[in-house]
Amino acid sequence: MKPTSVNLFQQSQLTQLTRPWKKFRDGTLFYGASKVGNKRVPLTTKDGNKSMYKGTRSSGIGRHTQYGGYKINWSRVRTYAVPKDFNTDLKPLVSHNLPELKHQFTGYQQGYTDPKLYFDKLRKYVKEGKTQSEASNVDSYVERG
Amino acid sequence: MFPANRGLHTSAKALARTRFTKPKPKPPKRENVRLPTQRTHHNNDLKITAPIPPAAANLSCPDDHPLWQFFSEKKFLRTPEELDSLSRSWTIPELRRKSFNDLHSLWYTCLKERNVLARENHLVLFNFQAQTEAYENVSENIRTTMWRIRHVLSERDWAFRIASENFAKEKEAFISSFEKDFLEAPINEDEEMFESLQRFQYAVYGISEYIDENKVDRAFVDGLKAVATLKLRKFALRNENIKTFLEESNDAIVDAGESFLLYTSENTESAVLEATNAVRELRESGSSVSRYDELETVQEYMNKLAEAQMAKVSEAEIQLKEETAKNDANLL
Amino acid sequence: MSSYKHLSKAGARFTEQFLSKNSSVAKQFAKYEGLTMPEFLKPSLPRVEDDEKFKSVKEWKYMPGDRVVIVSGKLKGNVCAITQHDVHTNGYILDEHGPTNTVPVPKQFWQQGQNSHMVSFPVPVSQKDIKLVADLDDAETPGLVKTVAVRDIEFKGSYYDADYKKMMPYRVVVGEEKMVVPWPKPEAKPDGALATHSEIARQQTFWVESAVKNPVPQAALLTLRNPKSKYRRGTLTAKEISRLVAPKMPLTEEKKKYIQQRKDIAALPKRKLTDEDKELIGDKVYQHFKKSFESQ
Repeated sequence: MKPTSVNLFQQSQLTQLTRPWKKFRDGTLFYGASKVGNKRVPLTTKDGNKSMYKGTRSSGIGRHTQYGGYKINWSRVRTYAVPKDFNTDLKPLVSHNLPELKHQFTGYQQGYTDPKLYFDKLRKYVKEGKTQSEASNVDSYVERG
Repeated sequence: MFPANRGLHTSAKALARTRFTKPKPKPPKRENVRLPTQRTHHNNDLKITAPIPPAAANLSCPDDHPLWQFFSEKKFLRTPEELDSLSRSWTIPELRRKSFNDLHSLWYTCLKERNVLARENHLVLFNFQAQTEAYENVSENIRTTMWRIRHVLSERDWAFRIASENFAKEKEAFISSFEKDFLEAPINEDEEMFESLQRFQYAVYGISEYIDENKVDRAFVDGLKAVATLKLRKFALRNENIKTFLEESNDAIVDAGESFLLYTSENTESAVLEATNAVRELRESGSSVSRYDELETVQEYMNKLAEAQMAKVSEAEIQLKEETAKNDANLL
Repeated sequence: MSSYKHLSKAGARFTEQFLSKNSSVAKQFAKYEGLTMPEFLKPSLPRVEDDEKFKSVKEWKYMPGDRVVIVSGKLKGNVCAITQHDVHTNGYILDEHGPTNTVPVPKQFWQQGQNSHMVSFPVPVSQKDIKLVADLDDAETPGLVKTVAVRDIEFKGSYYDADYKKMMPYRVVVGEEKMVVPWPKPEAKPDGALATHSEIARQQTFWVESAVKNPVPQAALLTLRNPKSKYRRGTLTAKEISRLVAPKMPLTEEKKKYIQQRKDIAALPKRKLTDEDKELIGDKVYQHFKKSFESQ
């Protein structure tokens, strides 16, 4: 067993104070500016010192060419599929003047995923085709799901 | 010992230049020459102009610049009062009624709007050191819409999976109830009934009305046969000839080739009668498709049908072009 | 320290705990907030936690447009109308008859048209300091309407309110089920800039079309659920189960014999007590007790 380090008892007051945080040779603190409070916060890309690198998982999408260019490997790039017929009429929110629609599933135990409900809807569709249901009326607020 | 003078190497001799040697021929032009690393200022078309003072008026940006998508109506920043804090998120029941394409579009619109809000939020937070609550609230409302879209799609998938697992039990009753409606409908409802048949074939066998959407598999071929039989039964009620034909084939079409012929015939009595005659001829000539070759054969037929349709479409296009050209000429 | 916390929710739960009402940091912050905040920014009611904020109409009890009477403080007895809810303090902001606070405002915060340092702000009032004022039919003289302050209200049943566009509870005087105080009509506001047109929002574009073709494309499903998620449980095949489960130990001869014996015993017909047996047992017991009594 190792004996207790004598150095621990022979340090200056200043080093004693900075002891747990002084991690690097150049004296920079690893855990950011504060010495007090909880330090178990997830580090962001801006935290840490020069040796700390936390990317955004957004680089490394290709390789550098010998002529100083960069060749993008498109299979590594995050891409968003644009819908085929973009419906621009739909906006991110709904008017506060429209009642919130509710669905009821009386008689269907499993709710929306009830197979009986699915077949009932399918039967109706085969019979009537693409007809608007009652909730297409903007004043209605409840409908069979 | 070694001689002190080693003399020149043979190649060195040849390369050594003296005043009197002939100039060497030019080296051949090299291929694969490295391009200059920096190429922006090598155009040699730079012109000297008067210094341009830095001013906002000297800056211009095209109206269709893609980065405008990060701005709301080309505004630098919306004030919290201009933000839409009244509107609410889409609810799940509302989203359940929207098609996949609509949901996809909506998700995309939401994503773009949240990017705009994030930009504004960042500005307000770091450049103006002001309250960002209003921006965050709107963004959170949109986020709610977005997770609900994902929820609805997932739920739709589960509903389909559970239903398709249970469909085997339900199938017979489903088909027989449709057949009853289909066969009992009077003659003046024919058009609606055949539209209904189209929906039925997609519902039960997955046969789409668009040729290129279909994948030929066992279910598809079985569907073709069932639909062909149903069509025959519908017209057998009105036409004796078709009735006798149906009786001859034991009330069901079992050959893939025959069913394809009947399936693709038009939904009229005369067209179906014609198709039955063609099938009769086929039978007399003894040509039939073996059950093992069914899938390949039907695939071939489908390809031919698609080609024929494409030809028709292109012909129509050419005709349309000619007509418009004629019209233009007339106008001129 | 700059961070991405305004964009991402990573670590949000910790921050929430860190700044929650009972944490030492929050207490310290509240202490210094009172000391350092300028008068014109100080809230008159304490701010409430997110989970204590009123959300439903049942919690609010009074909606903007309701008339209320102030029951405590300097302005006791004033009848005012509620103009808006203050969501941060669970308070009600009243019209010009309600309490106001006149404070000096530095020049950089002056509004347009302001020409004095002193500005009056309406002060939010808490729920316990006001009571609802309602026009109710007089029970003694029918047909006469009386304006009264209601002691308290409670909620009975619910109905669809076309003005609020949602289900609302009936508001009745406490203990008097028939005295319904109707909700005030909310102010009509036009649709917001980000709102979808109502008819388009309600238009149906999805129908259940097939029992064999999935309505959601396969590629979209991959972005909804992660098939390689570490939380996803796999299913064991029969082959894997047979490899994982140890084979049963064969039974020893003794064990087999024992099991057979148990089976034989179980197969034997159940014995029944006949009358003779009962007679015999009764006699035996009788003899025993007789002997013991005689010996005493």
